[in-house]
Amino acid sequence: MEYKIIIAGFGGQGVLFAGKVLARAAVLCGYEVTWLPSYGPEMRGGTANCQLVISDKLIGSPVIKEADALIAMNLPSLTRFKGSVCELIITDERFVPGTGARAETVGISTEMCNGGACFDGLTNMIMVGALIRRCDIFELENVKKAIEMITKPGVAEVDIGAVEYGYKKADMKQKIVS
Amino acid sequence: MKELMKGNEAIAAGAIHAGVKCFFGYPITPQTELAAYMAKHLPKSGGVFLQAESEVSAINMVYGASSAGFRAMTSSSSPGVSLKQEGISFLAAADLPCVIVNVMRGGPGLGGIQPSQADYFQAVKGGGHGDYRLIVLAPGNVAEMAEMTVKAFDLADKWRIPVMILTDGVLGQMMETVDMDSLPERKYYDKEWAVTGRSGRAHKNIVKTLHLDAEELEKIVLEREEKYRRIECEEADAEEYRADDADIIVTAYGITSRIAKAAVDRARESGVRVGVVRPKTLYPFPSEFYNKGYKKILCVEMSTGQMVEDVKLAVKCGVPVEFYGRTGGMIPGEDEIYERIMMMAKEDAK
Repeated sequence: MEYKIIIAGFGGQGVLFAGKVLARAAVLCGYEVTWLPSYGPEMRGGTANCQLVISDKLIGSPVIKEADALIAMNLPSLTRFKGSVCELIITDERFVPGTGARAETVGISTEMCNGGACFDGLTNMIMVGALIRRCDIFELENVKKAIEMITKPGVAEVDIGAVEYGYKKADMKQKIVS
Repeated sequence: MKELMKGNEAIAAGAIHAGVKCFFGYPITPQTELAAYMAKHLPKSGGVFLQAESEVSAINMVYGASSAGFRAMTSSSSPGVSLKQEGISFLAAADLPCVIVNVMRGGPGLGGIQPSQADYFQAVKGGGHGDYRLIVLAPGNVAEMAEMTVKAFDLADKWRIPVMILTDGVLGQMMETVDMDSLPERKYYDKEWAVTGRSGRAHKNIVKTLHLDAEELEKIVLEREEKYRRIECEEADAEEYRADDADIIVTAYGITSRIAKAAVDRARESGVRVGVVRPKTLYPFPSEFYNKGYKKILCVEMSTGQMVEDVKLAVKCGVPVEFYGRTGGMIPGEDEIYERIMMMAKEDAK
């Protein structure tokens, strides 16, 4: 088994952190993992991405040519990476119409989470929740545990809330636009 | 416990485990996390972290700290390591143990900030002036970044020689698991040569590199050459992967070696008898690992071809050696290496 994930968005949206949560969760699930951040000019210009390879054996290249899943937190990232992902795309529902990607595309409403602004700035965690609901790699409990391990005291709760929100939103019954 | 760490952080953690007492550095992408980790953690373990005003200054601070008998290190990336070359030549000339880390990026010049392996010549053949060598280690994963750093300090003290860890932007930046509890224990060596004050000793300890008498200088250089020959006999090391029955060998170090392994796995599935030889020491070069009856060798690097020269020397032109490289910050893909292997296998079948 090898599962490759690209997470991309604007700098400040928590792209790298989302990757760290999933990397830590993958370790807790007993997998080998590599996490590789972008550190090039595109990051300095405002967008960032990280690449995760999760495997049950030693990992060769940490660089992803074709991903199984993509979390695209902004439109430029969706445009850039949608062609190099084969299975699953998690993005904002506003970006979904006309995506034209061959992967199943799940649009998540991130604007009015839970009827208010309680998940403001937590798009990354909402999308992590949606991703783990739609792929069979992670267990929700391990993702929660990972968050507790890598966040400062008192922060984990709100991150976990956002993950659970995204997890619920990405339920199979939700509308899928491909 | 298994921790998730960046390669840069793993080197720093390994160095602290090895008892480094002085770190001198200057920020540069893609190695800065190493210095950042040191700034945070080294003072807590009783060491000194100092951000110097330049790379030149940092390497000369290493000279001072090492002369006084402390485990000392510096780290940088390609353009910064070029700046350090004068200091490295002096450290080699003074037989001073230290660890220098190069997290390579694309060159020449300022080049780019993406990963590269184009500083092989500089590290292995000597980027500074004079007859000298460094021991050069090439880790292949994040856990090895920590492990080889401990080894680097031990080798430096054992042989009184600067040791370079030659790695790249991918390994420096990526996170992987490291089991810090399984790191080897550091070794201790007497440093009766260190400049620590006379303390009732009959003789003065002097650390210097200037010898105006040519006869004297030749004698010192030849003694050091003798040491290099012993290092070549004792310390050369490589990893063999699926090489037992191989006709074709793919050879690569660092990040490229693991991409090569993945390509070799695929080629094995297609029925090609192919394996990997991964040098763990670049100097001394593990030449004997290439002379095991292989029919062809493919050398893969993130450069236009540097280690390939040592591979050719190792087989003394007795085996055809081909080269595949990407450079400037580009990373060879598993499929690119796989295709080259299949091409070589097909030629063989003809």
